[in-house]
Amino acid sequence: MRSCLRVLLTLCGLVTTAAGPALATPLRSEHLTVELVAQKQALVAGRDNWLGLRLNHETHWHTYWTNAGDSGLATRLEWTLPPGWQAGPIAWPAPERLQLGELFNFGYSGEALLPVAINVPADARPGSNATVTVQAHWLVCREECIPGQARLDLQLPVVATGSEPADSAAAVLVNAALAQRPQPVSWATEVVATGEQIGIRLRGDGLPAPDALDAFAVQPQILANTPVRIAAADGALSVTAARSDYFAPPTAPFDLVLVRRKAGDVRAWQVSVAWPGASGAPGTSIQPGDGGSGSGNSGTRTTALSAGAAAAPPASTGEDAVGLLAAVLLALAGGLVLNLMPCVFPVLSLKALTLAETAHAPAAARREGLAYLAGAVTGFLSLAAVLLALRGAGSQLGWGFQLQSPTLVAVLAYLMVAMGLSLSGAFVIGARLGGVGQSLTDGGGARSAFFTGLLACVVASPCSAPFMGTALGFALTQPAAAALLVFAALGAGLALPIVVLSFVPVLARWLPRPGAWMDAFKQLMAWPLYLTAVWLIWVLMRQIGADATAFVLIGLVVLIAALLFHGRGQGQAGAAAWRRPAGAALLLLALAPLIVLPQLAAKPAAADAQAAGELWQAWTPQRLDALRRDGEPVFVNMTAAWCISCLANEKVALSSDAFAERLRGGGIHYLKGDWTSQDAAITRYLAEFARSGVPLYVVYPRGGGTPEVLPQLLTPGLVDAALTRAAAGASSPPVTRSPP
Amino acid sequence: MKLIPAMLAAALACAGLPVLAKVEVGQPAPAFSLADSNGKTRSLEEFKGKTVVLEWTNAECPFVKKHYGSGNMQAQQKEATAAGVVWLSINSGAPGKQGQLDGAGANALMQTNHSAQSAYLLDPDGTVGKAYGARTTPHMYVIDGQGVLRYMGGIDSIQSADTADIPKATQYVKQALAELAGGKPVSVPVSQPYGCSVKYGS
Repeated sequence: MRSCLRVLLTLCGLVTTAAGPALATPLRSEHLTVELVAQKQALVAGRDNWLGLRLNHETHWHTYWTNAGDSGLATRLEWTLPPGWQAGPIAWPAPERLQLGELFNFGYSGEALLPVAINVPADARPGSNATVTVQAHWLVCREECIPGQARLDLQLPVVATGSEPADSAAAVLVNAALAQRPQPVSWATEVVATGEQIGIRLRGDGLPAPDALDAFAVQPQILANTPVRIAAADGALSVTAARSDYFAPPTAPFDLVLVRRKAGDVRAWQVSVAWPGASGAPGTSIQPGDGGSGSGNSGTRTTALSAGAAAAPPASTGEDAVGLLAAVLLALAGGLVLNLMPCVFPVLSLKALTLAETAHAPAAARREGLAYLAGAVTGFLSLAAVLLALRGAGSQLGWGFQLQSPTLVAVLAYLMVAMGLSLSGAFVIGARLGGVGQSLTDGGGARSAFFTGLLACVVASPCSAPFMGTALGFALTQPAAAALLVFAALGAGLALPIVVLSFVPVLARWLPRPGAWMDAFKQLMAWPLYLTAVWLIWVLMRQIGADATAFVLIGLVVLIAALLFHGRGQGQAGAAAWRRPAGAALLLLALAPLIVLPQLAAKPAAADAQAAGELWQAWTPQRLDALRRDGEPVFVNMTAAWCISCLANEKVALSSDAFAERLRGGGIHYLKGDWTSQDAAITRYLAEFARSGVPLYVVYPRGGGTPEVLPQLLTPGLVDAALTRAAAGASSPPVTRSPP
Repeated sequence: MKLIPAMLAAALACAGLPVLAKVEVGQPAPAFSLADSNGKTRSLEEFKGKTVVLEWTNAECPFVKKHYGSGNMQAQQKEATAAGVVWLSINSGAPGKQGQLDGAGANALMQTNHSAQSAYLLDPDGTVGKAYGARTTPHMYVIDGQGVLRYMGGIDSIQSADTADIPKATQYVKQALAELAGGKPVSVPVSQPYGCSVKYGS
């Protein structure tokens, strides 16, 4: 399926109009001129390319560093890139300490540039022109402040992997800013916090001289923003700062940036400082500092791919339109494939068979087909609208969110069992069954077809999330209208086979004639539904634990009793009057666990519990940051119990002895994040890679450098190659960092 | 190695004296008296027994505009004063600096803003601002009935000048007032203040 989609995408790529390369022009704003520039005249596929936001400040005006100091606000960038491209965080150059009376700020004045690495995937088409767009938000201040924002575009040609394009006119500025980035160093650090003062002692190779040296904490609420004192003695460097009035004890190592400005030359270093007693620090003893990525971004990650539909700028360029068209086609194809899923196929195959009966009444069949289409599209649009609304309100949710609700998972399990029982012949769907709503789907008529469409959407839900991650992830980064269009296409794709059948009676005539065999077929089709229910119950166990799941299972037993009881009643000609209230009471009893589920689920199963001897550790942003700072190679696996492709990948590529051996041999850390239940940290991490769902596999090379994102379907060979590359270290970092 | 502690201690001893005074949550808040926009002298002392909110402000600062333009600040003022809390807005801007106001100007501003503070205090020489270490506008403090500082920091949890962030942010002052009223400890007693600098005179 995936290769088909790739073909589709490629076809769409051919439609791209060939626009000539264009350079953005500087934009004059109040007291600040901004411009999006690139280091080179073209973007090279398969590697990081440096772009930058050039900030030309009027005299006395300034903008801010990632930690703004006493007042102000860090500049923020939101990128809109072609699908598959990734923007790194701002690689903040060395800041200045800006004094304003008694207040101190950290930022930039005069001519400055904020570099960002843009990763262009290896499969970007050479010869094409790409548009890179950034929405920049800044606060420019002298004493008074003016917030500003601008949308800046840059069009550049893409050239093949391995090419080395010529420098652009802005290369000097970009290179100067890159040279001013703090160089990660591994000095030993020791913190002595006495009352109102914090002393940090640094020891190691390549310590700078203490004159013309300044020091800044990347994270706020640790050091005061007043000037620090730096002295050298005994081969060590001691940095003494007042404690922040808003001090909060760091729970993880913080980053200290040293900046030396001498004779027009600027050099900077960044060292990770363990706080006594914080995680990873055994005490006040000497802590080996570490180098690593130097991004120092815990808590200060200010660059984000626009992940919220509300925040995304409107699609305006041709590139975006093509991306949208591709996503719509992808969704349509994906919806089509959903018809084959074990939870959908049994229901729909029967629907298709009943169409064979209406083949003789084409008008009615067409009406039904359209109503069914409307039902499926409505179902997906409603789900998408709920998701967009929740995200708009600030919830960290992605597609698949519906399966993160234990109540909904339980409801789906009930539904699967109920439909299975009906197919097994325990009761007849369509005899009135209060509360379940299946009577609505019974028989002919447009209304029934509409609700069958809705039902198809609901039963497809468990399958759509893990299979449609890419397209839906893209959709959710688009404006609401575009996102809804993609979801509507998914619904249309799901409905397509039935619609085609209803519009082309010839096809329906090819279907086998209804007959006694249909009963056997029905009986057979019940079993995939039961198995789907088993899977859902297993997901539920992972979400809420065995105890709470037991209540749901009891509820299921009562549900089965209720449906069997109801079925027996259907078989009797003059059923007793008490049967109906008794059946209804049983049904209510069956539903009781669902109502109390939110309370039962108060104690979730420990998601990061790790069995002894497992290869992996639970993912946390802190753990990943710490490993990255140490320059360790890391393999990140974001998964969920309800994600079928995640589980398939784990079986196929991530559980073999060869895989374990490769991890051990390469010293690669394996971090696994479990998104089975809602987890805002994981959702944010996914958004950094422009994803809104699992699976996501990221490989971080040794010694820093750009992480590599693996495809959503893994093969052992592919994983092995990626891990080998990671263990060997960053293959082609855009700028090599010389050791201290 | 014995040199190190001595070296650090020496460095600590001669580290520059902080120019802004320091206040601490859990300690008595510095006493003050200032003229309000109507020329009446108001002091912290006169509100003993009542919870007091101090709000450093400058109507021309984009961050202040964020919270007044959206009505967030006025709504919090109304809610607090209705519950018997005293809300004092303080302008520590020096004469000639952006946003500095005289009494008449402050009264006009309060009218156009429909703001609901108990009083608007003028601190043109910045004495009270510096006594509290007020850095930004807005910069918020909450003092309990015993005169003890219970909260200092930002108005809310999302540092931005964007109105759209307000509904997503935790409103720290509102939260602190609710917790104090319920006899509970303040769960977030200190946060990083954010905004424009207070325009002190030199």
